[in-house]
Amino acid sequence: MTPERATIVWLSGGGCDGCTMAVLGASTPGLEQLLLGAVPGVPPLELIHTALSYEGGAAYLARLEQAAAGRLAPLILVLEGSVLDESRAGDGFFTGLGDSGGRPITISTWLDRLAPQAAAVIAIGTCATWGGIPAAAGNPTGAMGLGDYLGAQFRSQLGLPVINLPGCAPHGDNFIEAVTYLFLHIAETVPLELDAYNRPRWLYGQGFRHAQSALDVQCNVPTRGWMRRVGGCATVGGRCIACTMPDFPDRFSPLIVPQSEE
Amino acid sequence: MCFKNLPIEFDAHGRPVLRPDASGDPFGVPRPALDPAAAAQKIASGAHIKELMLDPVTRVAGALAFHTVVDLQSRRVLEAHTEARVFRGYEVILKGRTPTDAIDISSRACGVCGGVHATCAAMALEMAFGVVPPPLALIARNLGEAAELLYDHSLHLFLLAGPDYSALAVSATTPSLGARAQQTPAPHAHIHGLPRIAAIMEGLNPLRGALYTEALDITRVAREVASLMLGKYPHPSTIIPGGLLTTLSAGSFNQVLGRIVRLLDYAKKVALLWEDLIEFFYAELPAYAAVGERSRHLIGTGMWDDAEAYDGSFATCDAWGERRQATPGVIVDGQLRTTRLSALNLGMEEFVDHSFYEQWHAQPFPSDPLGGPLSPYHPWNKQTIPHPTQKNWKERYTWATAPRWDRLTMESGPISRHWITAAAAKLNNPFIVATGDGLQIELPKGTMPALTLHWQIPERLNTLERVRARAYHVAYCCMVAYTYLLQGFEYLRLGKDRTTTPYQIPDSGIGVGFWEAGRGILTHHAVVEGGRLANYQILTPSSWMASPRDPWGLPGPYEEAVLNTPILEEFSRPDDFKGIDILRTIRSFDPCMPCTVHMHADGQVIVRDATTCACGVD
Repeated sequence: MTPERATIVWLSGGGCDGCTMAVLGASTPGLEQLLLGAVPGVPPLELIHTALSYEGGAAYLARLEQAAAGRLAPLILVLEGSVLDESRAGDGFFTGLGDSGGRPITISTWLDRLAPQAAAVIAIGTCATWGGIPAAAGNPTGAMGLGDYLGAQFRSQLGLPVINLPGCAPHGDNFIEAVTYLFLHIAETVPLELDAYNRPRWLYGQGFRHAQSALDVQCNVPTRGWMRRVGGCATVGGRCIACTMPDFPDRFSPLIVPQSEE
Repeated sequence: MCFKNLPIEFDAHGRPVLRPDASGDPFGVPRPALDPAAAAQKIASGAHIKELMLDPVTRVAGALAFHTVVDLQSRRVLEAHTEARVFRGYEVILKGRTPTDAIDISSRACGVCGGVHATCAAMALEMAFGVVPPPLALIARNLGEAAELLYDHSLHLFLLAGPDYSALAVSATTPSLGARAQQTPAPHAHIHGLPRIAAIMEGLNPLRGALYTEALDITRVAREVASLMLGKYPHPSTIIPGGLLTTLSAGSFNQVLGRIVRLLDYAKKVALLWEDLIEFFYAELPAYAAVGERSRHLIGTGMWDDAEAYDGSFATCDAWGERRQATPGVIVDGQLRTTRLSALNLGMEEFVDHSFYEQWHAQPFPSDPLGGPLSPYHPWNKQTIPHPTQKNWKERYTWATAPRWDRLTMESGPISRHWITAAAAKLNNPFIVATGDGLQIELPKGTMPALTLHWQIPERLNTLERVRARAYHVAYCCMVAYTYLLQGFEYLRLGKDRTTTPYQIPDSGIGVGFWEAGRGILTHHAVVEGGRLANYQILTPSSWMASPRDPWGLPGPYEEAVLNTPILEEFSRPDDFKGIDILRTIRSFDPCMPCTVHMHADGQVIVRDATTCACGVD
């Protein structure tokens, strides 16, 4: 059965807000239509997000506290950006959202509190799925993906592992579709099918050979384009840097191969 | 005189040299202690003194923290601290990598404005490699980057800052103003179609307001233009040193044209609806001129190069810089100090005294490539050494650093692009005239008739003027995009369709990218040694503006603007106080970084916080 309403808590770890921007660019339908309940089978959604929420400060933190107390069910927890290893921050911190006893509350603390309450957990972008650029060689923060942080055995209240939507950034429609299917799954209309990497199968089913590394890359931008079918990467003359894949960027560096003399 | 505080002067040939009287430690920095007990004394002095913790500041890009102490009786701000609260270590990650990786990796420094980082990185590498892109590549980059700003400013004006001026916010924080807005006709209703000021405010309501949802769609149109030129947005897929990989054809430019037509009409509406709203605030309460006011110190690298003039070299950067479609320069106390990129670069320093980093000590570059004396605190000399510690207002309290120019705090953004370009009067554009005291922007007819907009250099630098400049800048960016679109058609017609120049990565080299983000000045300083990046330093506009105190105790621009803000909000009890004047001020800078602002409005809670908080004032 479709619930009457639901809540999305979107946290940002070590990220760049690029996935947020990608989702704001979604158009089939747009994020605003999804939130207002314009998609059949999806209830109106409250989005709690530092870049978009009207209320900040204490009112914002109060909503997070309610979510952590299980009072905003069903809750969809979204992480953008990687999880930073706060044990490497000594007396300090790498991420902070709210204070407790004069010290910043880290994003990993919020994840610890919110994940057990979540009907589903979504890792959006390559930082949140596999660690991404903040986890590249030489990083000082011990950045990692959410699946590694919560552990392979983690299951949300719906019995789902962390749903991975990789890409730096992924196509914005991927998020809209994943949320839509999640509610079809909740209503027992269509099951949410994930592949071996816990990615929605229909979004990451297409693979192609990456020229430099000779590895297969799964990504739907080559077939969908970027904005309403405009733009893309290799299909418009640009570079595929395998940004949807584990071990991006190190395994695919140099990301730019110098052109030979004409 | 270019520099007043740095020990640099110019000889008879215009070359920068150390001042003769500078000796010993010419760039030495005094380190006075901050006033440690000030906040505690202020808080203890009365129940009307409130510590405000806005945490998080929402509707900014990234996470922002801001701490203030406010006297609700005299309606003044007593203390202000900006906190940047996320550290990812991109500069550390870039060290030792193949230099070209900087384009894609630094793009991911910011998903809101990734295209400007990718472009700035390409320019830093072009200088270090000695490679010049063909004109069509520069035209397409410029066009794509004008589109990036069109998306960015529309997003900020209507999704991020806009809700602060919405019917929802105004009725909650200044109900008397909301009531009068119902009675006040909007002077430009015939352009934007909103008959009264209250209708503009209702349009700005989050998620459901017509202006909010229209802006969302406009940001997508602008990003389609950026994607047509740069592959995709955020994080372009086609930018390389020496050019652009996008397959460009008359078809690509035609697809841009169809979208520009819509953006041209939108620009007319945006400028004049914000004009009406801002003039309403001033007319109702002239004290709004003091909200967010700060010293008129502005800096900008300018952007949008002349495709025939840009050669990527430091030796000629003053010449190609002055031919940009937004003029580079520095304004001090409202007066233009310089328009030379080399002087702008020479005056830059970055301090970490109140940030979670260690001071570095090596100074590999005593001078720039032209022999100008470089401070040991200059980005080419800086090293990023993270050192997270407990937060303490008198010592270290943020992940942001304190960049300064000639040891002054600098602001940047649409208002600096307008102000510097207007004052320098060097702009050469068929649709935009810099008149010395303002700008005249001619928007051609679309569905709506042609319209000429006039933007004047304001007397005061404040919150509403930052917003007004951004609203008019949508029109400016439109005409820059249109200018390059026409050039694109012309270069294709002439068969000048090359977009890449081959390059080789040198064993050693030094470069700087001078570009701008929507929110202002952006520089990337690159050092190549052994074919690898030996150092890579990114200075974003939000680094300049969200900066903490510097070694002299001078507050950063957000802090300074908040400290000068009178509290005009209407509230009956301290518990109802929302801090709207402070929030509008912070957001007027268009922050793009991870920070947090904390707010309490209960005297007893404050006293407890002030005495037990680890970041406290003991």
